[in-house]
Amino acid sequence: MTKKPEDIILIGGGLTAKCLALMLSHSGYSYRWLGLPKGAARRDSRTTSIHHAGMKMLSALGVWDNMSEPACSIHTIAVAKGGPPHKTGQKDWPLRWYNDTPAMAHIVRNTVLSDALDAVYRGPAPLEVDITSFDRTGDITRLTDANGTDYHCHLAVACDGSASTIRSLARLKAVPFSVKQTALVSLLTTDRPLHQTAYQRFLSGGPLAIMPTADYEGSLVWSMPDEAAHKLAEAGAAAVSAALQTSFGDGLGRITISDDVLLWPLKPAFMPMITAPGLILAGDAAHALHPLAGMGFNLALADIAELADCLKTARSRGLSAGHLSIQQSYTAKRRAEIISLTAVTQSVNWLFSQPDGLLSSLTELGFVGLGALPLKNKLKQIAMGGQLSRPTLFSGIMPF
Amino acid sequence: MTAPKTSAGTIDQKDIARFNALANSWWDETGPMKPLHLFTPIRLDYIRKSIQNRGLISAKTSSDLPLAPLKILDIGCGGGLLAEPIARLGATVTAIDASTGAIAAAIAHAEAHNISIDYRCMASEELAAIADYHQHFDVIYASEVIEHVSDIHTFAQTIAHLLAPDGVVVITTINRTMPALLFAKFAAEYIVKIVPAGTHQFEKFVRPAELRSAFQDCGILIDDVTGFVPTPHGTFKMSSITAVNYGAAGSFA
Repeated sequence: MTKKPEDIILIGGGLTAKCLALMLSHSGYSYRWLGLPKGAARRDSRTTSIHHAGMKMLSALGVWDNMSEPACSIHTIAVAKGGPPHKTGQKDWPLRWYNDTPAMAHIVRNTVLSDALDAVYRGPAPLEVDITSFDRTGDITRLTDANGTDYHCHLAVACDGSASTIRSLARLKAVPFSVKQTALVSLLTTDRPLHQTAYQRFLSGGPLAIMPTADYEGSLVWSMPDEAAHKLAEAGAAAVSAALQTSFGDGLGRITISDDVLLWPLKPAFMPMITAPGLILAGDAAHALHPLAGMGFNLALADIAELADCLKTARSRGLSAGHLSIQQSYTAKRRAEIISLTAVTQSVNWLFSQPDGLLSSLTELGFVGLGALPLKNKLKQIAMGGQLSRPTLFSGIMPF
Repeated sequence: MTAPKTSAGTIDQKDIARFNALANSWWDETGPMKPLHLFTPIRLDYIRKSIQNRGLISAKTSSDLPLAPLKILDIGCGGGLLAEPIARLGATVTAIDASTGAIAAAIAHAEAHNISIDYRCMASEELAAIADYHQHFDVIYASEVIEHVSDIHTFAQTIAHLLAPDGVVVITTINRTMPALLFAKFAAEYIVKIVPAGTHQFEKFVRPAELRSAFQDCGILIDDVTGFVPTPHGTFKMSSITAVNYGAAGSFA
């Protein structure tokens, strides 16, 4: 007789997987956590933008109050097309969104968030394995690792990133967008205060974003053509600081890169299917967005929160975690938001990366359009979260 | 590991092994039973609601085993698609089906999942002939079964005999209306793949009024009839439209 299958097997080792494991530890379903094999751990100087609803969710899970440093609230988002104005007196940042309460977003260092997730988690630790096969027979999902060990479950939840192994093993498609951009990622300090403002310049090579992490500190995500990114990164921190100063302008005074400069190749993709029988994708495995909107982790939180509701409903019906109805309702609740945000970020990036000329004039018009009501309000609502998706955890309530 | 309690009745152990393969088909949500799986959540919701409405369990319970005190009979359990969730919610479940194949599949699946259900291959009349089961069950449900029953009056009498004085009976089935006929014709998958051709005879579909009358004759008042209608997401929801699929519930008057 075979061993009773696990209800759920979680695959992944990143922030999404950690947060999902934390949710599962409250769900009442049994689970195993298969982390990814330890690679060369990359130092992660990235920050994550979390919207208001996501903040409430992390509070409900006990994570928010366990962070070793508080998140930096963003109350203003300032956007501009092109570099700083040439003439003095010319208005920079034509597009500004402001919200007093609640804050428009919260910026958290990935390392701080990761440590807080570890601190509050009280469930089984991840096993470091390399999954090499996925099979669904009847209502049982079977995963096999590189050593030939089998893991049986009703439902596999894969959050193993945008290049998800499980997704390809289950033959779910990923349609990549060719952006040929790489992001330079680092931390910076400024002479003048950031005033809780997130800045984004749509330069011809790609968007440049500065997110505040403190009054005079911020994080940089600067997308540019692959070759330019590599060249600039090789030139060193001083060269990056100088280039940044030129491209961003003097609005924040002198800007200095204060950490290693990492290269992050951008590989946005669209996944037409985010579930298969016995499999649910979450986080970047289900949606790899261009980072310009800072929505990646918010979408992952929405995935987790919706899955929590689906599991809660199934469990109250006595259904197994692999029941068809869970995949059905997860897809129904997540698809629209993933499609619309993928479309918006892709088209915005494409539109603003066009060279000057007629098309550019059109984008200027489009840019004015972005600032117009009610589209402006709509975008603001999306940025703040929970407009398209309203799972229980987004109200700061545990569904279990 | 101790084997869960199973009553194979007249089923040979070799049959059980042979029907292990079929267990996969009953429980393969992408296979021929897919429509039944899609239909499972609403049926569970309706059964639970009917039990709650009659005060057998509290609607507000936060227990993991809300059905724990109840003895429940599943008539025509098939592979155990409903019996397993009901048992998982804590009920003591007896589940019967006339098909040895279905019962063998159900036993194999419940064993693999360590779920305790008293499966028996027999007709409801045979169970009623066992003295111990007179007025034994708090809840009796027959889901997608009554449309295969040759005489619904006898069927209702058998249920009345097995049901505890304060028990609840829940029936889900297909109405005998034009929309149901059309639905049945178009939903070829539903008809053709689940049951052998000719099993679903339109004239055997039962109207709510006929159901009510059959149960009234043995003292059971059907006091709720709820329609199940499909949603755009492929799920079902409860509705006042009972033209195709519906559930009915009642208890002794």
